[in-house]
Amino acid sequence: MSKYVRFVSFMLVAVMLSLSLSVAPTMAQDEESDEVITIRYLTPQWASSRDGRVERQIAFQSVIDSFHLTNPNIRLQEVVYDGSQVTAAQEILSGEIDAIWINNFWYPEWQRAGYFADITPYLPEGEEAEFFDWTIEELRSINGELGALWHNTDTPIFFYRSDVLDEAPQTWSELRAAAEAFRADNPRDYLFTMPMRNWFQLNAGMYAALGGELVDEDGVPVLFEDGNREIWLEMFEFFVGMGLDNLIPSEAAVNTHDSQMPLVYTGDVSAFYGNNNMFIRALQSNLPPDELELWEAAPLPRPDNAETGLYVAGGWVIALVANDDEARQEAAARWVHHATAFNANRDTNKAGGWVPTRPAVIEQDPFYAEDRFMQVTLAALNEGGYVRPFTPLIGVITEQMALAMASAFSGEASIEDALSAAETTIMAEYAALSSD
Amino acid sequence: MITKFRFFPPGRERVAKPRNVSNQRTFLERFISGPWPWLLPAILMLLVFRLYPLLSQLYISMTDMRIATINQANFIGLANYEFLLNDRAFISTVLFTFVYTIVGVAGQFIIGFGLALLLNQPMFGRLVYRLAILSAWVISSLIVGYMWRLMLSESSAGVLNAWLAVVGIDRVSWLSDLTTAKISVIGVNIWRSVAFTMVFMLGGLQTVPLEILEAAKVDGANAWQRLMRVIVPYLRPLIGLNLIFVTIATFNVYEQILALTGGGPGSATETVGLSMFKVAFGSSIGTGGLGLLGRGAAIGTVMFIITFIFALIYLRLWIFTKEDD
Repeated sequence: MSKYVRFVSFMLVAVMLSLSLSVAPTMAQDEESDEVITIRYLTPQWASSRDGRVERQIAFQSVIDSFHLTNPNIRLQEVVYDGSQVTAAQEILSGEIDAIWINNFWYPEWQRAGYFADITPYLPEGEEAEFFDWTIEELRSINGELGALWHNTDTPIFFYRSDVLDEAPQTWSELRAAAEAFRADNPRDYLFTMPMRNWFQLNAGMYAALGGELVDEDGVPVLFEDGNREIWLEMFEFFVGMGLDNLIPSEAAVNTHDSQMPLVYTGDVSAFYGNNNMFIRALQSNLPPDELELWEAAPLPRPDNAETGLYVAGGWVIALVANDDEARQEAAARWVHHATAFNANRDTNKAGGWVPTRPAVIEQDPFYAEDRFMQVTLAALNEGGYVRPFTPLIGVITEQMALAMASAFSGEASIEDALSAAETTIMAEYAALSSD
Repeated sequence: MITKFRFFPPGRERVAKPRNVSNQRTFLERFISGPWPWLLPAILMLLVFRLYPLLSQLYISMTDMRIATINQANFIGLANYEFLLNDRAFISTVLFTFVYTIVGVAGQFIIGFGLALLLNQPMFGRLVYRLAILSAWVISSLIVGYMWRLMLSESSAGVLNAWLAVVGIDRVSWLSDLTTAKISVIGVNIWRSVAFTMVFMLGGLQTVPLEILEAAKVDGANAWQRLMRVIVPYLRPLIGLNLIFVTIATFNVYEQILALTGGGPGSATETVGLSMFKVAFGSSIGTGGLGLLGRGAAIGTVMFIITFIFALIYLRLWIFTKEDD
């Protein structure tokens, strides 16, 4: 009997002990949750306090520190990821992320799928007007809700050596005339090059400036309908013609923004189409100071029959991930706003070498105001920032139009055949997407 | 007369013990004392890391899974395969991949085996030559792509064009001309992979008994006859294995071409592996595409089937021949 009693009392003590041990942390957590809300923010390593570059470490850490100072009840956990779409998708679906730094062209489908919450209720009055207007318009274009705030942007510009060109060509005919004149005097070199593998990203704005449309209001691709096809033909004939007349190096057919740079460093070309950040990413670190001083920039030359140029704007946004916990949602919204507010926008973009999405930063901060490349970028974006339509097909359109240009430019296919091949693929992808 | 294989010599066979005797071993005992505990870890690893991903890929290839909506995949049967079969661009990619593989494997094998024969001879600095050739294999494939991209550049930075200029030959469009671009990507792959064949075959050559070679020499066989009648037959299983490895590796190449030409000009140098990467992950790295994991998996399955067929052919022709049956 005593053996039985001893066993029962031992079991009782064991059960009570394990219960108290398992409940204790929960109680502590409950008490803690009244005071501090922890939110998790997923960001690529290169846009975090854990990046290898000291200036980025300091900039991003200072934004986190200032957030903790102004929001003592919120604790932010910065979680880094590899910057790939697959990882981002998996992390959002895990339900453990409150805010995330993503590429703008991942946003539309995730917003449509309901992954993001509307940040509008958490923003101060008039805050939206502080951003480039096209950033807010595009982010709201999916379902009217603002699921993210745009952190940084970029746009292609025309880089040129001021000792070769007195002033940048403003139209395509001026560009061609300048290229012909240059080749006549320098038969071994070229005036300019452009990366055909990024052709669509560089020229989609000009297509829009000529009145071209990619998709209609229902998302149906209309880029090969009569008027639009004529615009493509005009654009293709201009650039392919430049190639046929040997005014652009043939290597352009397989080049990207980065791989075209040896042509620039060796002096084989004196101008190039490139993202505005190529000054920091490439020229500054690869050219001697006296040569660097010679480089200037201007908005891309526009087609002669376009009244104004339109310039493709890309970049990364910080999205507010939807969740059921109202307190966490609000805390995360505060962070998204804080990370894109004036000071954070200024400091982190400065450290990253990106273009801030608040025009006031570029106008007022001396760092940007005195940077000739940044002011050209601002001028282009103010003249006409163009975000490619938020359609699921944009990736395939971007890829196929660049492929078509590269095929026609290299002589793999005629312009008509290259456009037809692009049309076939894009329409087949549209059909496959529509049948889902 | 056919004799059966016997483990124990005649007269020393074990006497079968009657059932239900007290010392009969349990299933667990028999299991532990048998080969299974030794095989189990390997089998489990194969199941988890080979069979499961293969079956999973097969399933994904029959869905419309996309990166953007990774949790909303629908079963669509063979629609992805049907799309690929009707896609002219994909068919031409497959055809180029065959050319790339056949020419590449032939080049790698002939040059690699030739180098192995050469470096198997006693010569001054043999180890240095071996290491120099092997260094190409040690460098990452992606780095090799970027390195050669610079060397083949049509700008003044291009080393090859600079050499040609010295002898008065005008710049060659190594990467932007349709024909030379194809030759360049095949050539770079051969340059890198020759080392693997060389090392592989060098190991084999060192196992060829000298007595056989000397006997052939005494019988009057010249160098070519010794190679074709003695060395190659002796190394046949090894050659077969080498061809299988090299074929699979060449057929699956994508990162080297991504760095060299990105599949261009147009899609002239796009291989099936690169096509799979672009279809599945292109949207993730900003090169376009839809992030179609389902179709990417279908391309992966096509690649698996083709390489599997290659492997079977080689096994049949070079390793398990009829003589072995």
